[in-house]
Amino acid sequence: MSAAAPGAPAFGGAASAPRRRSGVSAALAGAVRAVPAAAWACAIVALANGLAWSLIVPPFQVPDENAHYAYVQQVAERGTLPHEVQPEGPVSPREDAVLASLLTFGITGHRGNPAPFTQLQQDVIDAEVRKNLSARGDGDALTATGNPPVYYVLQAVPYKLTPSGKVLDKLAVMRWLSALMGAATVLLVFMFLRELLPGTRWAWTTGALMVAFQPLFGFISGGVNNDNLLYTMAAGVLFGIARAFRRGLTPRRGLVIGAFLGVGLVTKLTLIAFVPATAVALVLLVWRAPSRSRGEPGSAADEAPSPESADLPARDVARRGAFVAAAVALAPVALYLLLNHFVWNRVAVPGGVGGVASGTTGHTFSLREEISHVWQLWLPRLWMRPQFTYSPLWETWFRGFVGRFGWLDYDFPGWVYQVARVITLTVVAFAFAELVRRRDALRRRAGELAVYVLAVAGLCAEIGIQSYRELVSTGGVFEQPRYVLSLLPLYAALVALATRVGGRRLGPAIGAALVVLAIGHDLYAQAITIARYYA
Amino acid sequence: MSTTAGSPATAAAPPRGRRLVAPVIAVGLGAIAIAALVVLLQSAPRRSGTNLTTNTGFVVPLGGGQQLCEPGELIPAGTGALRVAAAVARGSAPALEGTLQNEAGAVIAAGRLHGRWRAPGVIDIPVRPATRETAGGTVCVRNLGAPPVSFGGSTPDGSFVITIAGHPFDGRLRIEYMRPGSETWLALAPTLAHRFSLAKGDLVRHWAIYATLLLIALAIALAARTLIREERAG
Repeated sequence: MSAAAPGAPAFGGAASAPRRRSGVSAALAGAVRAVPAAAWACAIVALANGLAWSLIVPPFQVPDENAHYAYVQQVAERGTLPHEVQPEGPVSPREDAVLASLLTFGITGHRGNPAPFTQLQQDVIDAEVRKNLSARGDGDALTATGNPPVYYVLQAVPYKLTPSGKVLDKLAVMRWLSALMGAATVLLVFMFLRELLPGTRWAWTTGALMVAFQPLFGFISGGVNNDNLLYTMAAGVLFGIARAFRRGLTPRRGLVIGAFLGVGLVTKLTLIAFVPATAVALVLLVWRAPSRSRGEPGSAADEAPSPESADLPARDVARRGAFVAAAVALAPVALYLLLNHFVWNRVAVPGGVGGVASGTTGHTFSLREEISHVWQLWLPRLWMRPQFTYSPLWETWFRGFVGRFGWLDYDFPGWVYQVARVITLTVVAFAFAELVRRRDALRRRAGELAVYVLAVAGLCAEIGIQSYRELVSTGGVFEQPRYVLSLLPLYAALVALATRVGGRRLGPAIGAALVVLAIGHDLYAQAITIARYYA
Repeated sequence: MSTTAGSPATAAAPPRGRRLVAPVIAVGLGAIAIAALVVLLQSAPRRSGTNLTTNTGFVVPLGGGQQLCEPGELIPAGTGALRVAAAVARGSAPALEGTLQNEAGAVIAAGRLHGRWRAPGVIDIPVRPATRETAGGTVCVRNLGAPPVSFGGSTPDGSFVITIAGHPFDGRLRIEYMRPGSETWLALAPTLAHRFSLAKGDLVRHWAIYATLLLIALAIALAARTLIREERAG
């Protein structure tokens, strides 16, 4: 660990380590050394918190954890990806027996029903485990079936390495890997803030710790769910973009952006929401790159030129960077599509793209209604036909982000959300004041800001479209508050901006106060979780 | 937004006397500790278990003088009361008698709730002595008065069949098994620690509670230390 000074490069920048030492490992080692000690500390905080959550939440009480486990099981046991089996049924005798002995579906969705906590119930679980039933199912992984495989392939490693064949042991170890991904997310959030607000060191720590102690994030980090890797990749994309905006786009920085985006897309297709923002970012980065050669003032001088680009004008270097980003992002997606089609015999996009057939729900697909639905999912209804009987902005997104846990079956007392509203409005007001105060700098960075706004809009549209299509095809509700956690870096940025209102003296104290509030919030969430399942 | 790394405005650390982060953290964590202590000392009746039945409304009827019996219950250890949701259509709420039987039909605990309880509402029917853990037990509730009572539960509820006045009834009463009297969270802590060790992987369950406390403490301590150090670093 090194406490690199602000502005020192990381992740492919001009680290102090000898740059010509060949090999990917040297580059990676340099990148790791360039990460400040505070970033590692924030990541360890997130890891500890995620691990704590992984022990607090009973097995299979994280949303869809049974399905995600089934996917990993399919990968690890058969070496293939799951495929749809109709009618949807059991996953594997071993997992099904454990799910039944844990009384899983008597607990999920019923906040009054605790986890098994009598010795007789433990004896039943032990008896099921001793049967050593087959871990091979019929190939279906329930709601996870259509997901891309990267997260599950990674989770197959702890699955295989866990010495016992017991479902609950494997699940526990798989949860540790998820917590590690949560730590990586927080590290990338720190690095994102470092690029975004390079002059305000305390704000990086504040923002990263706010994410580390965000209860919904901690809860998901403690479970087996591919959202965990999605959040990491989303944070990586935003970090890569911020870095390129600050230091200029080069092939290596393009590689970082493309790698995070590409791997993210084959982790969960939700990250397609970031594609327009990334594309606009690349265009802007090329457009604004000076058409003079590297090494001249104002060029991307903090990255030593590679032999093949040393004498190129900066714009050409940026073009190369954009090309590398696009190619690296597209490569895993193309490979995934080809393998799906020719090897795995699966549809790449569950439900396909384009229109959606209405089921027996009474809803008929209409583009106009879809647009209205997307709008109302996030914003107040204007003249449109009502799409919801409640306010999604408050009920789903705000209350959900503050805290709704389990299979969305328990939450805080009502006063917590009211207090959270006041604090949130204050933070937003502080952040807005800071933006107004720094409007000149903001104007200079309007393009970059537009990219982040586009990332938010892209995610809102993507979730909204899926929400509407789920409504039309099944009548069900798709959206869940955890889907917005891909925007955690921007949440951290909002908090970091707010702390800067206090200036050099009060800023760190405001940040510390917010982090302490987040700690209290997280502890309270863990307390209600213990009360929910064990009391 | 500043784009200047290490600008004069931000490069130097604040004078030592002006550091506020440590006091803010101390006060904040102190407030959290006090709040936690207040919660831990709150006393209330606590559960020993439930029968996982959903309460979909007052759907299980029990006429005056009738008894309902619900077999197949896992009666947790240390049960001192049966908590049920109940409503009375008319008249004052009648006295209710609860009986717990083991698999062989022997009564292991019994008790009575006096009439005029507040209806509709959640009521606790006390039983004595506190039970040992019993699988395949039967819970019976007798209406000792004339007004009919309806209990919260599900109907139908899978394949569960209870008997009301000796007749089968497709449904199930939701029962929460309560420990005797009231307890603070602090007093319940050893029980919670034991429950925390159940229904988890063998790899983690015996040390999960200690690891959880340690991890939480580590996260808080490291976060505080990092905030303080970063303020000093400027």
